[in-house]
Amino acid sequence: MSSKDQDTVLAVKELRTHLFTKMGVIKAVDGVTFDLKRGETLGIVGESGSGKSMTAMSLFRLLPSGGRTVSGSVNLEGEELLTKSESEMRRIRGRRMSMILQDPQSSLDPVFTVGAQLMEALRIQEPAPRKELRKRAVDILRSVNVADPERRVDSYPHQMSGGMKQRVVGGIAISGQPTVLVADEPTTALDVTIQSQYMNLLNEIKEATNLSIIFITHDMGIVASMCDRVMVMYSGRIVESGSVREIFNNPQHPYTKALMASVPTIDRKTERLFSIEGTPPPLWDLPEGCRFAPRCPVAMDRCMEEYPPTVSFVAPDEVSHEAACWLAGDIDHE
Amino acid sequence: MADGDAHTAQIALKIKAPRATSGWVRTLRSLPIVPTSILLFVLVLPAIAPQLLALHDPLEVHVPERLSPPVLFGGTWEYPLGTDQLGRDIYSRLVHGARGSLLVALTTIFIGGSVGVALGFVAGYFGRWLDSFLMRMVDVSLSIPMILLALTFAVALGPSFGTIILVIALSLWAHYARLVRGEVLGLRDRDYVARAKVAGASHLRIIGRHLLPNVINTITILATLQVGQVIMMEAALSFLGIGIPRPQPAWGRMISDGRQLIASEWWISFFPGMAILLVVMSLNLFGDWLRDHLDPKLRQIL
Amino acid sequence: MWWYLAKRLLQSLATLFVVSFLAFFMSRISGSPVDALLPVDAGQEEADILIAEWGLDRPLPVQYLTFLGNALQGDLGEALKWRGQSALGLVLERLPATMTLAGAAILLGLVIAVPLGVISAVKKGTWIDRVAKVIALLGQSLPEFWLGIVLIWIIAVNLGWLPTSGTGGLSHLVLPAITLSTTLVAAITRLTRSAMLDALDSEFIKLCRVKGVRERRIIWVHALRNAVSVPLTYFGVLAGAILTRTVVIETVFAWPGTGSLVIEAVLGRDFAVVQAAMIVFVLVFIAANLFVDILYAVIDPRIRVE
Repeated sequence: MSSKDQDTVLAVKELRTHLFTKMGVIKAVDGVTFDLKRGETLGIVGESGSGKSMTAMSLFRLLPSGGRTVSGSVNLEGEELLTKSESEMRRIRGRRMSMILQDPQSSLDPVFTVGAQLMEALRIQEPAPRKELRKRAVDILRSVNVADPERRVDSYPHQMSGGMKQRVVGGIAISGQPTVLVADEPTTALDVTIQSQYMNLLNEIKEATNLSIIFITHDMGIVASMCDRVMVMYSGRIVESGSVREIFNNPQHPYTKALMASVPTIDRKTERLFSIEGTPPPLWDLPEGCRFAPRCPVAMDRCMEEYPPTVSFVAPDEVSHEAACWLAGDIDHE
Repeated sequence: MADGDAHTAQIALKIKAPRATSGWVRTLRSLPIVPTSILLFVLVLPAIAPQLLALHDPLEVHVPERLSPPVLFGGTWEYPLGTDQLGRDIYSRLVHGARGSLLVALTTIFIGGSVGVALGFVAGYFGRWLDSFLMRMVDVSLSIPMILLALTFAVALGPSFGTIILVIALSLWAHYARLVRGEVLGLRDRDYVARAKVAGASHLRIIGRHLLPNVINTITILATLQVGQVIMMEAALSFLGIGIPRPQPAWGRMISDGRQLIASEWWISFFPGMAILLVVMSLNLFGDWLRDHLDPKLRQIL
Repeated sequence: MWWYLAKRLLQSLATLFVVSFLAFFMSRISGSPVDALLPVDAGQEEADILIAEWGLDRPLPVQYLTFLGNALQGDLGEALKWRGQSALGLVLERLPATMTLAGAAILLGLVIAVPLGVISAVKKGTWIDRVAKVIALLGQSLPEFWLGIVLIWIIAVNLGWLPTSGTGGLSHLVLPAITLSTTLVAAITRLTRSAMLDALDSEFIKLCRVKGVRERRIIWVHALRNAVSVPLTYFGVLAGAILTRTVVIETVFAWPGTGSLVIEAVLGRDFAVVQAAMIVFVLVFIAANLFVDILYAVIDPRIRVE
């Protein structure tokens, strides 16, 4: 579990991504900084609208229309990504940095065979004759444990089970042997078996390839079982981060605590956490002080006025633990 | 906690504030001005009170002034849009033509719509063989080419107001039946319908009280969007000589009257066409607006 | 798939049956065909001969069955206006001209509307999108018989670029085809645009981007292939509408197809020809829909396999 002596593959500094909409500028990602080490799994946790998915899309420079990364730095193995051209980025996507989307069930094109879609990815990475590509596609399907890959390569997505489709999506994601894999957790396909199959798949992939994974979720329970380190996001900012053990044993931010208390009660549609009253503030109209203050059970006057600085408290034999709360460190309520 | 309450109150206020001004006032304010005024001045007003707007009797023949050009092309204000081969005032004929178009549109949509809605309810509500039979009829009706049907009727019954209304109504009902049936199928199994059934409500009461209010918006939108289409259909039939019978002025007929003279006396055909274009375009824009306001989810269907 | 097609074929037969029924009874409402056939000064004797010859003295259901039996053998009666010629023969003789016109209009419509719909979806909110919207609105609102006349006036008469009417080379086809395609362009542009917007918003497009697929390929291969089934669904109906409209357009451009034949028949009160044309048009409509069903299955594997 110790993440010492591992080199950093991805360094994100002060990343700010804004959405320019009719309602005003939405600061979807508002100064996010983190490192990702080789072989590490980093969890990003938060409610929907916390900016976790937008952070991921910013890394790939695949923002929705109106979205723009206004400042910051994304450094992949020593290379700055934010200054790269679109064609350079295309060569990075899928090869060095890859992603499994939120809904693997519908992320396969229904009118092409899974083989064609795998081969398309392979051809982009390295052009080769059809036969060769097909052979490699079959190999990849086999490596993600799709039964009978020689036959399955010619199947259409609708002919496959949900679990199998997930495996194909996983196969596409690792086909370019990426350094970093971003996995957006399935929130809409909430079938429990499918979710656990997904976790198994990720674990298999991780063991086989030693890649670094950024795992995006709203479920603290999944974080506990999957991740080495965790980062809690709220309204575009990181409110707390640290090793999974430290966060679970010694949470500092009231929001983190609320998240942990709400592990299984998730409304399927809104992804709202029932145990926390209220909803996140509208991102185009953020409060001046701490963004969680309006919902916070222990908020003080100061919280409404001033955003708390990020403080670090490193427990013995832990790498890091940071939180942005006026009460962090001496929190001891209830 | 007092602070928190104040904050909540503020949020509640903020949410409520814009809602207070919404509703009818805002809906009316968002009415598309240009299409609405075109409809009013080119279609509705002339249809209601043509004698107020017209300069001449639309049937009055002025042989000495025949084929006189529009006022901006060497004509006089006496005949602002020129005259046709018989010296009839184009402008006045356009004004008087509006009534026929609107009348045909409203009548056919009322008849076709009523029949279609009724059959749609029957099919959707009672289901089973009635449903399959009626939907089969809908498919049949939709695959019969309207113009050929009209031609057949015209030969059989002779051209008259009654014939075009019959033909157009026959080609309209299926759209309503299919739409209403689909909506009713979706509503039939809702809780409140089941509850009404358990409470012993009659079929008629369930349809009237629980189902009709839910589909009335959809029907209104479809009807609005069809006014333009029907005006176009009627114009096409009149153009072919099987629409509104002579001597009643009709836009489609006026276009066909000036057809042979298009190279020299273009205004005879040109202005009636512009009238149709303006009216149908305005109706389309108006229908889109209505759909977006009443039921945005219909965007995919209509 | 085959079962589905068989079902559609059966449904089509039902449609055809109803149409034949309608056509037959309309012909009888119009009064005895004898009046139309005989010269004004003909006596009762001649009328009786004709009635016996046509079987008009038998009960209506029997007459209908006879009509149906003859129709199944391809006999839709003799034309009244063109004595001695079969009604069906006349219609079929003119059909190729109509099909050429309709085919050209459909081809033209697709070539303009599909790219326009795709581009306006991709460039949503830009001036191109707005232009496409105006084109769609105009196409939806233009009375096409009037558009035809105006095109003749401007392009053929004033500019002299193209012939005003009639047949001949390709140049004669241009104006009628453009006129006929306007509604199709409007409808297909709108349908393609909204289907493309849906497709571009889907998860598999995001996956393509993550995979590093080129934007051009994403739009024209992945998104379009998925989006195209939506306009295709309406294509059968649209093709039918086009076929019907040929009647009007052929009149405007004096195009010697089935449409202008029907108008001549109407003027001559030749019921048999109108009837034959109606049945043939419905048949073509049914064939177009079956063709669309097959095409649909080719494009969308979800239908093909099930």
